[in-house]
Amino acid sequence: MPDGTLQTIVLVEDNEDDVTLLRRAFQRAAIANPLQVVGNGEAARHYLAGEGAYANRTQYPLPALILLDLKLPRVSGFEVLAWLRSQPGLKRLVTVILTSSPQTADIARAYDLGANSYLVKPGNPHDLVALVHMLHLYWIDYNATPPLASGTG
Amino acid sequence: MPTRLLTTMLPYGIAVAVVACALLVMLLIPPLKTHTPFLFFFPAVMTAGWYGGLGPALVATAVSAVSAHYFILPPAFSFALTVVTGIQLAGFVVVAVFISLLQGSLRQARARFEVILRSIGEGVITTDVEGRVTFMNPVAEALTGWPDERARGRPFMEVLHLLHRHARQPVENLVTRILREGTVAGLAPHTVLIGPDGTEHSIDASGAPIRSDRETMAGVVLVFRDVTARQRTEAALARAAALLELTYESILVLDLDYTITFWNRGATLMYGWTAEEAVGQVAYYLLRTQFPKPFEAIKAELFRDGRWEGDLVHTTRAGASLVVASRWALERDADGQPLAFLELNSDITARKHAEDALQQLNATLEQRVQARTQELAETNAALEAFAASVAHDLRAPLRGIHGFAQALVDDYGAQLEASGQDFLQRIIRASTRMDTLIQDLLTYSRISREALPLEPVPLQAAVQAAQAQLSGDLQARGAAIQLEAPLPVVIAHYPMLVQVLVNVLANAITFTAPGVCPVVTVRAERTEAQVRLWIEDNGIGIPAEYQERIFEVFERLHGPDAYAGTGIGLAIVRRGVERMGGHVGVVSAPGQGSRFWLTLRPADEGA
Repeated sequence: MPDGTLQTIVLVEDNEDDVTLLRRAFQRAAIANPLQVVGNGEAARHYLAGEGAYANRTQYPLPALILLDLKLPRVSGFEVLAWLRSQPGLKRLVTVILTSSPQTADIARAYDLGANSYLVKPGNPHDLVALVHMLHLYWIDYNATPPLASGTG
Repeated sequence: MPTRLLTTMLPYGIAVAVVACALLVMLLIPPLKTHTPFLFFFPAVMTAGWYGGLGPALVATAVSAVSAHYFILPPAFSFALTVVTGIQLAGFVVVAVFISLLQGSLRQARARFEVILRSIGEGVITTDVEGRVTFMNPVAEALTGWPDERARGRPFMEVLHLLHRHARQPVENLVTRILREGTVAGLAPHTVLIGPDGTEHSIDASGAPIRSDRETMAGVVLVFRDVTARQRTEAALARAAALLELTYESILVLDLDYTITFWNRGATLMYGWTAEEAVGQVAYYLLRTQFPKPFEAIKAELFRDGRWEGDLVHTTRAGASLVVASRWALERDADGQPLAFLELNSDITARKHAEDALQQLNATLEQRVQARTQELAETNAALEAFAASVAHDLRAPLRGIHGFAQALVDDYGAQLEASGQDFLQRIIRASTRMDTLIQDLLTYSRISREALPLEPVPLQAAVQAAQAQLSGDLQARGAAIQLEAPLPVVIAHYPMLVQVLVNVLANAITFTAPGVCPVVTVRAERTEAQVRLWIEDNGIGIPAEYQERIFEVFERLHGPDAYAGTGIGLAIVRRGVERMGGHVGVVSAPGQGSRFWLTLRPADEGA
């Protein structure tokens, strides 16, 4: 990525309230990175594959970080993750699960499918701001973004 | 002189004595001497022969001859012989010897006759034509109690005391009957002999006339024996046989090639064939026997042990199938050689069917239990998923409520009056409470359903983990938790134990009087069978009437404005401890703090 261009963060979340609160949290944390939101698993797949409405890579660039909810209508977060990790050009994309489920079984499955990290959504919005800030700091600022295989731009 | 010698010499002595008498008589009556010189010597020889037999008769002959020659034949008192006297003497000797021989064989015959009679094992009584006893052999003597000498001449019925068994009347005189009818006759039935000691004997008797020639009867000979013992045996046997016929079990006797020789009424009832039809058949062909193991093995066991037991399948005459419990025994003769088989069968068809049905029921029961358990497990899993799903769906909007309320406070709080801000705070508090409630409910429901694998857990570590979880609250309240070492190792489920301790400790530091810093002491008591952990606080205490209720779901003693709490925390504690095999309770009084206790199994029981 050329310097100066801020990396995109993709949020896969179906709950509108959670989306609003997250956007606000990003704002409060002074994160300027573009936030692309898709509301279900199918749309997530289309976006990442660059298909259909998301064919324009300039408008819809590949993200440096995917925040993935698990409880999505029709196609679950697990399915998106599994699909992602099976795509040669996309499988290295950093994916952090951001869900309300603290269940051990879900955590285990997410890691089995190749999630990079698993976060439980905090109830307190103050905690959400802190979380988001830390996410950005760690995964965008500090973490070395993996190079993607050629052919995806 | 020894008796034996005396007995032997006596007849000879008698012989000599008799001859001497005869001589005396002859000498005393001179006409006899002259005309019949040998007259009285003949009777002497005959007498000697009668008493003593051939020997003494010959001795008598010799002595008579010498005496006659010397004393009687002329010339008297000398041994001189003339032709005439010689011929007379010779003639006498010849005749006397002849008589002796006759007497001898007569005596022998009589003796033999007597010996034979005495040797007969049965009682023999002979009578004359008048019905008087002429002879009793030893067996008759024993049975009647009459010695031969005493019995002779007595009437027959006096000696042989016979009565009718039931009527107790004397029976018809058998001897009289025989004498009258002149043929062989037996005793009337139900006749018993009364023995010398008054005991009753059953006897078998028959008599026959003694005929001197074809026309004339000389008397009656009666032969009898005591059959009491035999009759008793027969009666016992008959009774046993009758008893055998009473039973409903089949009793079969088979000979060594398995041919039926005895078939009781029970067998007829069980199988349908009568005894006539069954006797002579080979048992396992007739009954179409199915054996539980090879017949050879059964035979071997039978011959080795003398018995065999097992269940057989038989087919009745009507074609029905029976299951019988069969007991076999091997009969051996006196030398130990196998003689016959005894087979006893009881019908267990009904019982067998019941057993089979029971077994099947058991099997299906097992299956049903397994299916039911599977169902339960599935239901549980479904419930679990449902609860989690419900919790998730309930918490989502709460996040929204809480989040936006807080956002309002943060972004627009300055523009609100105090009351507006207060409202928002209440919204936040309410939604937080609800979220906690949902989580607690989820935990509580999970405790009841989940299997808790137990293992040794150091209490120290669990308490410290609980402390860590509560660190924020502890700090906020300025609470101090004191651990009194040592805290033993217990059998528990670590995460559950931590949750329990968190809840109890949270309680301990929450319910303090305003302005008081909570101080909590944690210590352990050890007995052989359990560990009792005490969590003692300096809180406001719990009145006696509520000390049980606080462990129930949704039981709160104070409003949420006074003290925070969902009312589930202690319910979770009780449930969790119970699932780990222990108990909880509290010792408390208002104003005196509370001492919560929980018991768990020690990890080293008996140590």
